[in-house]
Amino acid sequence: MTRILLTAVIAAVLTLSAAAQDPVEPKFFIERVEVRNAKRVSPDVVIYESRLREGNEYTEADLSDAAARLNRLPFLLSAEFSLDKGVERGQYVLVISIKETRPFFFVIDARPILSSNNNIVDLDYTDRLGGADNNAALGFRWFVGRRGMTHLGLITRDDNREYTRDYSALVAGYTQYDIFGTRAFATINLKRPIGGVSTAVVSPQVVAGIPVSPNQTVTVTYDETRFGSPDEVDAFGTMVEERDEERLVSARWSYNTTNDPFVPTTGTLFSVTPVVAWRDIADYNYYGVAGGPNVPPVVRVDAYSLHMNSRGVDLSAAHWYELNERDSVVGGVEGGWADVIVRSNNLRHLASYDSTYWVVHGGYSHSLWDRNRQKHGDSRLEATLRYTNRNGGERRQFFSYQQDVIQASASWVRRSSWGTFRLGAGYAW
Amino acid sequence: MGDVPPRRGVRVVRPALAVVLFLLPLLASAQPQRLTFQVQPGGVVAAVLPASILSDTDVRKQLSSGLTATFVVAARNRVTQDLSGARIEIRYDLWDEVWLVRKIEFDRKQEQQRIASFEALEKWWKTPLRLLATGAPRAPLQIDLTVLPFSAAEREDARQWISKSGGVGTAGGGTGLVDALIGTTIAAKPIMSYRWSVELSLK
Repeated sequence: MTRILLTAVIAAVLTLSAAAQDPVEPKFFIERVEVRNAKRVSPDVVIYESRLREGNEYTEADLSDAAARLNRLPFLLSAEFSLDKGVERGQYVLVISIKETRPFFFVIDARPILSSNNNIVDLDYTDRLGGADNNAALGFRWFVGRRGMTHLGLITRDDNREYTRDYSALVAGYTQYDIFGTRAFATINLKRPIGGVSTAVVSPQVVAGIPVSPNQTVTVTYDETRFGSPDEVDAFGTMVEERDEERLVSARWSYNTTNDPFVPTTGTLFSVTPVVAWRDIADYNYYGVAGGPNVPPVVRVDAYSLHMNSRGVDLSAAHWYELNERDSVVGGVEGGWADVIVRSNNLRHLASYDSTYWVVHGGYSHSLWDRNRQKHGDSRLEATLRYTNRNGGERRQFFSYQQDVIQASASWVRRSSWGTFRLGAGYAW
Repeated sequence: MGDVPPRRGVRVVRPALAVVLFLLPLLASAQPQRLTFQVQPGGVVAAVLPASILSDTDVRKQLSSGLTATFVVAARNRVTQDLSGARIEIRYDLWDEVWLVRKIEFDRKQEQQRIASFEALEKWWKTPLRLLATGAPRAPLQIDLTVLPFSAAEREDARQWISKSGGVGTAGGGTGLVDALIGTTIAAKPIMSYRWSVELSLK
């Protein structure tokens, strides 16, 4: 801690004194951007994601921000900037030397959590960067042409929202970068839930992202998931509808100055995500009476449907501090609120309830590698402590719930060109 | 709702499986190289930085990048916790083929030069860097040198934060800024860092 604090204070103090006397900060006219060591990654995508444009002037602060942004990309392990002379005096070629990840990727969080009574604790733990929705992903990505990337993989969604359903899904998708020359990107995914959803069907997800500054991105998502087929099924001779569908529309603003997409050691992350969700469930209950020797059994089938409309917002803030070249600490908070209205067949109102959660977390990590080796990934020991409070209740007091959980975990995390893997264990009270 | 999906995330396993070896952190720092000091009139302590720092592979790579390499030297009295320091910035101008250097010492004295060759740069590097002034007969110091890519300290956000804090009157008065400055002025990942602990006798 001491070293980074000393460095920060001294740099700031001397910056102030220098600023008063400093001539104009030098700017570099970038006539061309050259990406080196690109084997699979499209050089154009690297340039688009840097938000730099050829033919413009940039300060070192601009270039530093662009380098930080590239170092947060999941398909790059590192990006280093340098200048070469341009064609004309005073002009420069910006050289970005990258180290790519491999086309096969994985992000796996394998941390089983013990509980004091050996019961499963109904608790999500999305303590990955920014409370992201996925705690596991693996697959392949290929860059297509200058601006495109396709991917095929397996993802899981595991969020803190009470009104959405967690699931795993097979996903195939395509991302287009630099849409209309705006540096925006859009991803279209087709996904099919797997595991306990035998009748699931393919459904779409569309994500559009706009980098409004090197550190800020607005992401708009439409996400539809069909856990059950809308086809009618035969239930004891009665044809009934059996479906479970969910649609989410969200807009996420994020401010991110972290230095790594999966294992950050320094920087800040804020995000605000308003969400509107609809969920439609159609199913049936059946009641049977056993028959006698000359009496056939009687089965009564009652079909029903439920519609849940939810509006909510999720907030997240975290800061990572580097104590020295190997040690880092993190502290953060997360929270969310939602208003959920449940209606039955014919849209008759059944219930309204609020759902809230908040999380306070802190952690410490120590790299087993020195600074030089960290350019090729990282190998860290992590210890985390997390307090989660979740509660909600129906406004007419038909039901309510509350949950307080403290969770501690220790793990080893390895980031390489193949992916990121966390292995460890934890305990929850 | 009668339709609660199985939640993911927390799994219970047997306690016997939960044994995780967690190594105690081992604080590490780069191998210190020889640092020499001068005591100048007025109790000013100046340090001569090791020339080998400029020869370090990663530092040399940044120096030849055409972008700035920033060297921040922080000197802290281990007893009084007084903080002071200096900063050096070096950039190679690709078109003029000269080294543009700037040195800002503890009392805000600033020096800028254009240096024609790397050999001359090494010679300039060896000129004493004034870190602090003290009237005490002894100075137990911890010296930290951090090498940063880019001229990160020039960033506008750093200036704004300093401005919001009301400014910093003296080089030793920066502790109140700590929270605001963490991770901002030092946004770039350091290239190298060095640490020395010394006990100076100023008599």
